Amino acid sequence: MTTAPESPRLALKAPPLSRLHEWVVTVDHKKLGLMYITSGLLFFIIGGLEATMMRWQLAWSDMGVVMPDEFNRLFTMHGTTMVFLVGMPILLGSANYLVPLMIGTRDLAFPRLNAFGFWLFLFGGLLLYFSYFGGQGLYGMGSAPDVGWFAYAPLTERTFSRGHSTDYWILGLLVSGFGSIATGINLVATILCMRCKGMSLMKMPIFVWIMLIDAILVVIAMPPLAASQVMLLFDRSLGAHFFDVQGGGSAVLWQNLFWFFGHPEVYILILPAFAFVSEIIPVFCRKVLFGYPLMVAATVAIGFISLGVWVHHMFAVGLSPAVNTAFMASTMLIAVPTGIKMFNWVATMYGGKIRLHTPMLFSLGFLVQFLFGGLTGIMLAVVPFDWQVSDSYFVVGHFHYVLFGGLVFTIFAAIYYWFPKVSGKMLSERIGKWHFWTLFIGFNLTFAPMHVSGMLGMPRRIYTYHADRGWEIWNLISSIGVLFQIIGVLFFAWNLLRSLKKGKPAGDDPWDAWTLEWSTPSPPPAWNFDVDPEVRSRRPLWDKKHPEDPDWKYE
Amino acid sequence: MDQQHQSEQHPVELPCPCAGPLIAAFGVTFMFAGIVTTWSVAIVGLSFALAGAVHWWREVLPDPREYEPVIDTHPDAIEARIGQVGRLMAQPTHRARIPLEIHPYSAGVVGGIIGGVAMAVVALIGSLASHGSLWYAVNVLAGTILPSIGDMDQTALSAFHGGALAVGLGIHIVMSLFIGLVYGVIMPLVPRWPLFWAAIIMPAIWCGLTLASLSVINPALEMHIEWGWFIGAQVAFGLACGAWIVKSEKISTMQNWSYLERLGMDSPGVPGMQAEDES
Repeated sequence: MTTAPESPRLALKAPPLSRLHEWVVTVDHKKLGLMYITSGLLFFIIGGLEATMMRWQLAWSDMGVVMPDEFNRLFTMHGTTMVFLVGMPILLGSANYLVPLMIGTRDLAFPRLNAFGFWLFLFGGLLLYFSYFGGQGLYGMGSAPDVGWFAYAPLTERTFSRGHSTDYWILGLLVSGFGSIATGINLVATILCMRCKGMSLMKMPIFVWIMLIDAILVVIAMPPLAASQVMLLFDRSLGAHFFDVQGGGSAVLWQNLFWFFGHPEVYILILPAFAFVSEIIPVFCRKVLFGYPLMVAATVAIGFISLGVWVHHMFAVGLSPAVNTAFMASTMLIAVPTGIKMFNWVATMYGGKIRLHTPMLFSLGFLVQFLFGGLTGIMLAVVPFDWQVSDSYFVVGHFHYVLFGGLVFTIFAAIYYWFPKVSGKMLSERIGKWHFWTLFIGFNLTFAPMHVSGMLGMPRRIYTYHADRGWEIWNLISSIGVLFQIIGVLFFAWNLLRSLKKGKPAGDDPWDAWTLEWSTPSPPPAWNFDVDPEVRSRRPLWDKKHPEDPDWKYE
Repeated sequence: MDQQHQSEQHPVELPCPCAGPLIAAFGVTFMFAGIVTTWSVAIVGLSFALAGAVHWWREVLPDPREYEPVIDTHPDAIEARIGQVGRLMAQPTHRARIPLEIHPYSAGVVGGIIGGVAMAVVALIGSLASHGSLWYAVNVLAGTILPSIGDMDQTALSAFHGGALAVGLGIHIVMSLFIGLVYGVIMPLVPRWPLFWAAIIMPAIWCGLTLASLSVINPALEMHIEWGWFIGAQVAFGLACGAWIVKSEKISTMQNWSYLERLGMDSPGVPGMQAEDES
């Protein structure tokens, strides 16, 4: 045991190099959470720039902004970045920061493993982007990966993908995937074993419940991806033939292995969005979350069913009707628990005293857009419809409504909601509303027309198109939408930097919220709680603020 | 004071900062990078990974190294705000969930039937006025699932088709019942002026969605729809169905009932049973 006089106040006074050192050797869950989120936001800018280049190229017919090969790299790196280097770190970072505070403990179960997980993620991401410099290999071929974010075989075999670009894709994701698995295990152990006194499973905040299921999904879904990537590495480096059809392998095997990871991954990404809004909506409606037990059950059901729907990504492959029908049914089944959640959020709002602050606006944006994305998802679950629009811009529009309209909007909601706790400063409401409306308009301008261009037959991943297809107006609208989105993100960056410097002091509990993190100082100290907390209900702060009407009487 | 006392009893211990994980992760990444660069990179990576791992293990074995922070930051005290929030109580042990009263489902079903009749009357009048035929509207409705209807000209659409009549009637009955039920569920939830919602807002949403999407979903059908009469028929449905539901008597929800009561069990001595006889 050593004594180290460490506190946030002292840390602020330390010279820059000492502060940097303090951050790189930290095992504090809050610092690691912030490092995850900051890295994710930086990768978000990179992925966004890649998307901007693609939209510029597609704004009108026969454009020549980028060449076909570069376009292939752009959509591969954009997809890979947004899924693995933006969505994953931000969700793991949020869980890192908030779960220990919400369950009343001082850190995750394995703090050093937590640091190891973060550094693996970051170095894996950097290794992937190093491909822009090292991907040419000895052949002078290629640069960054250009095989799409799901890297279908046999395109990834050495014959078709020379150089090392695909190897960098494999290795970068393999390394960062190990980090995700480590953090997943850590979260499960922490939530199951380190809750404060009185916090039974059914008294956990809904955020923690959802993160528990999410972490379990990470632990189940990531290893098959790692295994398939090792197999692909063997194919490429050691002459194995797992996915080489001419050598007796199976390209469909890759699709099965990848999507066995890939579809749970969609839920791994969207469940935290559910977690954010399930915390934010009740606070900004001044009501208890409607149907907590059913929300928990729906989360568990989503986690379970999401492991059995992967073949809906493969309807166009030519599998048997029986297989297609079974997976069509399971895909439709998952709409039931998801629908329960939607109804419960609406029921929470119903009759509430709604405060339209920025976190709530983003949550409402999520509800509308995720509903739209969910409904087009149901359409795509119907096999004949899927055959018609498979690999078209309809699919691109659909999954951006889910992952951007769903996940990214709730990430912004969460940042506006928890930033005061993290920094001790309020974000500007005025700039926040400008951010919301420009992003909301820009998002819908960009992605709604993609459904039309997809229905008109525009395939995804084409680098240009001729003028006679009737796609130009829809693509132009999509590209104009990107300008609005850029303005929105600039508003956000300005708000963040300005508020960090001269934002209004937040106090410990600026939103009059109810979970344990709001009982700590803002920002929380390294030790989180002076005294180990004890809870009697799901809203411990409500109980303290309203002793005449505590929740535990009714739960 | 009480908090201070407790923290003295249970000293706060936190894990010491540790560079091991960073070094080990750096090494692991370099080991993998060696596969696509050169073996010497992998060797360097292996060295770093081992050094990081040893550093890490020395931190946690035999006992994890921890430190006691100086607790110099305390949270604000949480003040009780007794009486500041109004409460809607159904029973002393139960917080009420609104709405407390709803329309019975049967009101929605009957409302759907009445609305369906009103809608059919307007559609038939429109059909006669625009095309001099009672069958035009039902043929166009059948076109939602019969592709052959979309290829018909105006004359053929004005003629009688037995199959189209059966399909059109089927669609109309099912949709009327279903939408009536939806009205029955939603109308107790709208904030005020339920009839305005039923007759104007909901038909406007439905017509807007149809107008926006039909050109993509079924362009052939879109050419044959008389939009003025279509909107009139939707409003007629909303008005008739909504008026019936609003007129129906509301019933209280079962939220105060015990599970046994909800199951319809009525037996003396069952705990939680409403004692109606005693009152």
